[in-house]
Parts: sequence; C-alpha cells; structure tokens
Amino acid sequence: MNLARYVISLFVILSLNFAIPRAMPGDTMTNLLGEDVILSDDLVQEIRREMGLDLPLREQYIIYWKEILRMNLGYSYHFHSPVLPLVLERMKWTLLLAAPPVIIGALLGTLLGALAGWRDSPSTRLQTFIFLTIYSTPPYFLALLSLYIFGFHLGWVPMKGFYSTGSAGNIIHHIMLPVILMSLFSASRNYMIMRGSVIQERRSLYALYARAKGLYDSQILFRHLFRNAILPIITLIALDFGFIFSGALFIEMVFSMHGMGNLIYSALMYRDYPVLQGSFLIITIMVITANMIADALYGLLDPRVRGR
Amino acid sequence: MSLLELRGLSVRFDTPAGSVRAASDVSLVLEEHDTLAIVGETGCGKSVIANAILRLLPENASVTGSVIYRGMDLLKMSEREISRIRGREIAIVFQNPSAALNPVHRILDQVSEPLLIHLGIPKRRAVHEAEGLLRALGLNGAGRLYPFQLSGGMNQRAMIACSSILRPKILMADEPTKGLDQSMVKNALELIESVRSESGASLIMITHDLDVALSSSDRIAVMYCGEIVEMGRTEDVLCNPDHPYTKALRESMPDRGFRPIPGNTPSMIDPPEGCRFHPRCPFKMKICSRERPSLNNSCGRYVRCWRCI
Amino acid sequence: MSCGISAKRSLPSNPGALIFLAFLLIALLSPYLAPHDPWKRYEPYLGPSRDHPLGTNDMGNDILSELMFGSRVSLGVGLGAAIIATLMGTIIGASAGYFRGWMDEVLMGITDIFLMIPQIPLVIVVAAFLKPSAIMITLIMGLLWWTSLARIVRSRVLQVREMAFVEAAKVIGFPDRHIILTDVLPNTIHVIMPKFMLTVASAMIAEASLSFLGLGDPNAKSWGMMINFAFSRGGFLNGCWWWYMPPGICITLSVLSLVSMSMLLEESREDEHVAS
Ligand SMILES: Nc1ncnc2c1ncn2[C@@H]1O[C@H](COP(=O)(O)OP(=O)(O)OP(=O)(O)O)[C@@H](O)[C@H]1O
Ligand code: SF4
Ligand SMILES: [Mg+2]
Repeated sequence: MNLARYVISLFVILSLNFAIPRAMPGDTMTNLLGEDVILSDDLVQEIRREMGLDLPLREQYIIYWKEILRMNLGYSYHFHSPVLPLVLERMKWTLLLAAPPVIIGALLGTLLGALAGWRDSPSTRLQTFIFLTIYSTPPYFLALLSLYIFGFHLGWVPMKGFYSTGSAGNIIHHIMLPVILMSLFSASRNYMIMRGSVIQERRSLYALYARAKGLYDSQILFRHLFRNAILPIITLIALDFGFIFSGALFIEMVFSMHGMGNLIYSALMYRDYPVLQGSFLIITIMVITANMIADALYGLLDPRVRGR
Repeated sequence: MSLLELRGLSVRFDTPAGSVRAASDVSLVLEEHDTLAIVGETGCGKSVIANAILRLLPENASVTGSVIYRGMDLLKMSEREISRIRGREIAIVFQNPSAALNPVHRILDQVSEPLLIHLGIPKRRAVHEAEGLLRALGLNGAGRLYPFQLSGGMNQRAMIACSSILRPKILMADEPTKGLDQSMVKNALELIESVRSESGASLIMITHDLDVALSSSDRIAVMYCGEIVEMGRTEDVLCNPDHPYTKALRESMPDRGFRPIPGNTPSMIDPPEGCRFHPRCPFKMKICSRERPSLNNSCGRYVRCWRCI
Repeated sequence: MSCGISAKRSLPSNPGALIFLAFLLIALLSPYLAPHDPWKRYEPYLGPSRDHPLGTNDMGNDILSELMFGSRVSLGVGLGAAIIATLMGTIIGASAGYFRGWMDEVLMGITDIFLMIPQIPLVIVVAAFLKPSAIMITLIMGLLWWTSLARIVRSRVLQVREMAFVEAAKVIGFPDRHIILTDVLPNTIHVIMPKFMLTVASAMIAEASLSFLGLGDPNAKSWGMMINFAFSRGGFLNGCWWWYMPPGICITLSVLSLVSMSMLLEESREDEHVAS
C-alpha cells in the first residue's frame, strides 16, 4: 500500500518533469536544451527531429519514458556533459554536507526540544528563543553573516570552500562552518517540533500514570514520553529533509562549495534547463527515499503500525 | 496512629473562568485493612481527592490542609520523597486503562517497571516476577503484547497488576467499573478484592455506583460539590441515609426507580451559600441558605445537615 | 467558540503581534514614512548619517527608504501566497474530510504526492522558466504550499463532522455547502490560523531565497533582493553592514513574530482543550 504511494509519487513527478518544459511559455526546444545554446538553423531542425519534438505529445511521452528507463536525463550544452553523471558527481558533495547535519540536528534538536517541552525554565526559554530565531532566519543570510564574521573578520575559516581536490583535513577545515550552520538549522526545526510534541504528550494519561507509579521527573520523559513524542517527528524529519537539502544548496552557494547548490546556481545563470530539471528530479527521488526510510523506522518504533 | 488521615484538605483550580473549588475541607481517616468508598455525582471532586493524596494534580491546582500518611505529611514532602511513596506505599488504578498504559511499551515491561524503579532489582528477575503476577491474574501470554492488542478489561487487569505488584499499603481505585457491563463489574471487583486481601492493603474505592460501594467497602463517604456530606459504615449509610442528598442519590439508582435528583449540579466556581445542597433539597429550612452546616459526628456517623443535629 | 477568547486576550500583549503590526503599518504607510524615493540616486556607499539613517548602497539608493518600500513586496508576497495556499488547503482538506469516500481517497492521494515534492527546488525550477515578477512568485508558491494545511484541516473536519450540531444540521436537511460554511469551518478556523501564519512565514523566507538566486522581481526590491544585491555587488566584502544587515534583520524579525504568534495560538488552543 505504502509502496504503491511512493511508486505513484515517482510516476507523477517524472510526468511533471515531462510536462514543465512543454507547458511553460517559450519555445519547447529552448526549454529543453537551455538558453545558453547557440545553434545554426539546420542543426536546430536536426535536433528537433532527433528529440522527436515534431511527434504528437503522446509519442513524445513514450519516448521520454524510454529515455528515463535508460537513465538518460538529457544533455547539458553548457557543461558539455550528460546531465545524470554531472548531477550525481555533485550530489556526492552535497550529501557530505547535508548528511551529518541531518543526524546531528536530529539528535540535538529532539533532545533539547524534549527537555524544553518537559520543563519550562528561564534557560529553556532562552534556548527556545535562540532556536526560534535560527528557524526564522533564511539559511543563506545566516551563512553570509557567519562567513563574514568568522571568515572575513576573524579569519578562522577559509572564505571559499572549493574542496573538490583537497585532502581529508583540508576538506574538514572547509566544511566545518557550513556543517555547524546546517546542523543548527536542522536542529532548530526538530527542536520546535519535538518541544510541541512533548508538551502535548506531557498531558496524556499514561504520563500521569507513570508519575503515579513513582517515576521521578525526567525518568517519565525518557522512559515514557520520548518514544511517543518522537513518533510524529520521524515523518516530519523525513518531510523536512527537502528543506534541509534546500538549505544545503544555499549554504553551498554562499561558501562557493563544489556541490549541487553551485551547479543549480550556474544552471540558473545560464538558464540551463536540463540541469535544473535533472537536479530537481534527483533531489525529489532522494526525498522520497528519505520518506520510505522514515516509514520503515516508524513501523519499528510504533507497535500499532507494525501490527497491521 | 491511623494509616492515612486527611485533615481539612481543600483543592482549588485556577482557570480563566475563575477559581474552581473542587474540594473543600475534606477530612477522613483510613485505618489498616480498611476499605473506604467515596461516592457522589460526576464532577463532585472524587478523583481530585485521590489525585491530591498522591500529589498528581496539574500545576493550576493549589492544595491546602494536610495528608498524613504514617505520621508524615505528604503535602510537605519534596517531589523526590513523594515519588518514593507513589506506587510503592500508595498506588492508584485509573479509570481509563487503555489510555493510562503506555501505547508503545509491552505489558510485561510496564508491569515490571515498578520493581525496577523502586527496588532496583535486575531486569530479568523483575520480568519473571511480573510474568508470575500476570499469570495469577489470568493474563497468561498477554505480557508480550501491547495495550492496543488487548481488550479494555484485560488492560484494566494489567493496570491492577502494575499498581499492586509492590504490595502497596493503600490501593486507590478510581471508577474501576465505569463503562464495564454487569458481569465484568463483578469480575473487576473480585479481582481488586483478591489483590487487596492478598497483600493486606487498605482500599479507597471511588465510584458513582452505590451497589459497587456496598459490595466493596466497609465505610463510605458521600460527597457533594466538593464536600463530604455524610460518612459512616457503608450499610448504615446506604440502607438508612440521614442526609437528604444521600437519600436522593439512592433514589436515583436504576434499581430504585431511577428518579434523578431535581435541579442542576451547582457551579464549583461559585457554590451556593449556606448548605451547598439547599437549592435542590426538598427538606430545606430557612437557616440552610444562610449558614453552612458542619460535619457532625454522632457515634461514628458523620452528617452535614441542619436537620440532623 | 470559547477557543478564540484566551488567544484574543493574549495576542495584543504578545510582542510578536506588535512587531508584525508595526511591519504591516510600515508597509501600508511607506510612501508617507520613507524619507526618500527608493530609486533616486545619491552618493553611493554612504554610511549612516542624519540624511540617510541607514546609509546608501552602491547605486546611491537610500537604504531606509528601500527597506520601507521593500516591506510591501516581502509582506505582500508572503501574505498573498499564504492566502492562496490557505484557501486551497482549506477547500481540499474540508472536502476530503467532510465527504470522505472516494473524494477523500483521491484528494489525500494527491496531497500526499505533493507533500513529498521538495517545494523550494520545484519553485526554483518553475520560476526559472518564467519571467520573474512578484505576482508570478506569489502564485507559484500559493499553488504549491497548501499540502500540510489540507491534511490538518481534513483531520479536524473529520472530528467536527461527528459533533452533535453537525449531525443535527444534516438530519434537518441543510445542504452540504451550508453546513460546511456555517458549522464546520467556524470550528476549524483555530487550526487554520496558526498554520496560516506559518505559511506566511515560510513564503517570506522562500521569497527571500528566490531573490537571492536572482529569481526575484527586479522591479520590486524586496528585502531578499536587497540582500542579493549586497552579496553580488560587494556589500559584504566592503563591510557595508548597513546595507545587508537591516533587510536580513527585517526578514528574521517578521518571520519570528509570525512564528511566535502561531505558537501562541497553538498553545492557547491546547490549554482550552485541557480545561474543557
Ligand atoms: N485541572 C483542572 N482544572 C480545572 N478544574 C478541574 C481540573 N480537574 C478537575 N476540575 C474540576 O474539579 C471538579 C471535580 O472533578 P473530579 O474529576 O474530581 O470529579 P469526579 O467526582 O471524579 O467526577 P467523575 O465521576 O466524572 O470522575 C470538576 O468540576 C472539574 O471540572
Ligand atoms: S442543611 Fe438544609 S438544605 Fe442542606 S441538606 Fe440539610 S436540610 Fe437540606
Ligand atoms: Mg473522576
């Protein structure tokens, strides 16, 4: 049942990918090739035929699916490369940037958020305010500010993050500040959700019964509430993965890092539509995968789902 | 020294609409092996009293008076100290077992938890002991299941097991028969009685069903609008009520014609002056609406009524 | 309903609400409040002074005036997108929850699919094909941002439709549209409002992010555009803090105020829930 949902999602998204360049204003061929391509008229005709743009939409759609099944996402004239390998090569670096923060942010955010939801004190209120502020700041602005402060003023971190060729130590040096920023960004979202979730669970009868059994204070939180409170979070973290990932794109742009973010940025500059679409497609597939993992995890933690 | 004594216990809740006087000046005594029923219409403050004894009320509650358990005032203890009393010395069984059990933990883990928390014995032994208790209560094999896989009645058994596994000195049962059909009521009461007598505990049975009170308690306290209005031996009070409210309550039971008490339950924010029952009382006199009657004792029978002095 | 009362009581004293109100007033009154025409050129790179309280940028535009006029674009896009999204989410969620059956299956199936599409990348792709304009950006976001609200409204409507007065209205034979509008939605509004505010907030952040990518409306300098210019035209490297800090602070502050209002509404609703 759930698997069907994912398959349908994937199908719809791939179809959307087919429809967008054809539905958008402007010449379909330009929309498919990108605006950075200057070709002679003869060549245009030839490519048009080759891509099947003269055929009826239905047949174009079939051809599109055949190409997808052959793992062909088109060709970038700007980068002179097929789109898929180009995107995948950059994706590696973005994952390197985004994966640790997803984990750090999940741990930090849920733990601190749970404690903040459990007890209201001046220090947790300050914490909530700080995370709320981070939550409310566009990630790229936070990145710009910290790059300016820690890179430009204090000189603690390098100004540019182009690390595709560096050694491991070099990479870590470059990636440290972005990872910290991303972690805070991801933690702030999880913090807010977990705090709300614990506040809600705190009022449940089983929490009261745990107290009546003689559990003391945070024992109730960690032995009883935490697991229940984290259930809604798991799905949300997965859905949030798209946001975190988008955040990573912007942070890469600010730090000029070699990854999807800068790929998208230059694709935007040159209106390289195939690369834009290919990136979108790959990101979406990753988000769907994250959701599948979350679903599996949810089943593992919630016996009510597992039982079904 | 009595096992448990409430002295002038009063509970108020601060709400946006005003302060709710959920219990006023409640005093009662519970001896060892004693069984006491607390009865009254819904909303009269029965659960509030049980929760006040164990200090389980939410933060908007303010509690005054004292709750003396074996010479110690529970209301003056630190949170840490009272947590050692909860579940070990005084245990409670809640009304809604399916919501009171943690949905994501196995029954066995929940039943054995008090052993881990209070006695710190190894997990394996605790689980073994819990298994034995579950078997004795007819829940063979349910230990590996989760609350959502059991019926309400089985969950209640599990909660009774969980609350009694440490053999507490006092067991409080809050409406354990609510929502059960007639045959299950009998089962539940028998179960509680067997657990109680086996561990020699005292029982506080909270119910709105006078039959349940009659079959499960030696003594009874009748509450109206946050106050105890009549208290004494259960048989005496129920067969021969003195207080007009107790009489009316008895008439409203299904087996006695189901005649509801006329009038509405009063507001707990702004309770009636004088005797709180006077707006609904068929016997009221002039003084009733002006002055508050006190709880008078004659030979162990307590009544709060101007007619019974 | 009593649900609104305590929220109404606490909202006026909430700093978030006051800040947001101030921003709204500035946006409405910017032609009267702004000291200069935001497009007029003075001396570039001026630091803060009496004449230009927040200095000027590389083109010599007065930053304070830009900031005030920019609030119109930023708030306008945020509110506009949120209104579209809220309307869509409410209609879709309420129909699914109220009619149930195949309608529910189909609408929620669609919602689930949209919920999984990462929104910002999709907006980037779509916006890249279109000529950037504030209206276009508002529309794109409004049409994509409705999914989680639809889910929330649906589950609330599922509860409300079981309530006695809705059953009664059905028995009497009122038409569905009437029941939804007069009975169901008024009891759903308190779950819609907090979400609406969060949607305004995330639309504002998204607008700022799109502007940063150069996908913003070049004819309407929003706060995001200002940061973009400061970044791409050297404001950061020249240390012109008065150029990039104010728009950033304005975005953060207005989003913060929206999120805190939303939290307040959410919490007061839960308190009501417990008290009843
Ligand atoms: N947290 C609270 N805040 C405000 N008022 C409360 C709170 N808890 C209980 N009350 C009020 O205190 C009064 C007594 O409630 P209590 O739960 O003790 O009634 P009860 O006698 O147990 O009724 P029932 O038979 O329905 O369980 C009620 O009027 C109730 O509205
Ligand atoms: S005191 Fe008066 S009003 Fe109250 S119960 Fe007795 S007779 Fe009735
Ligand atoms: Mg009760």
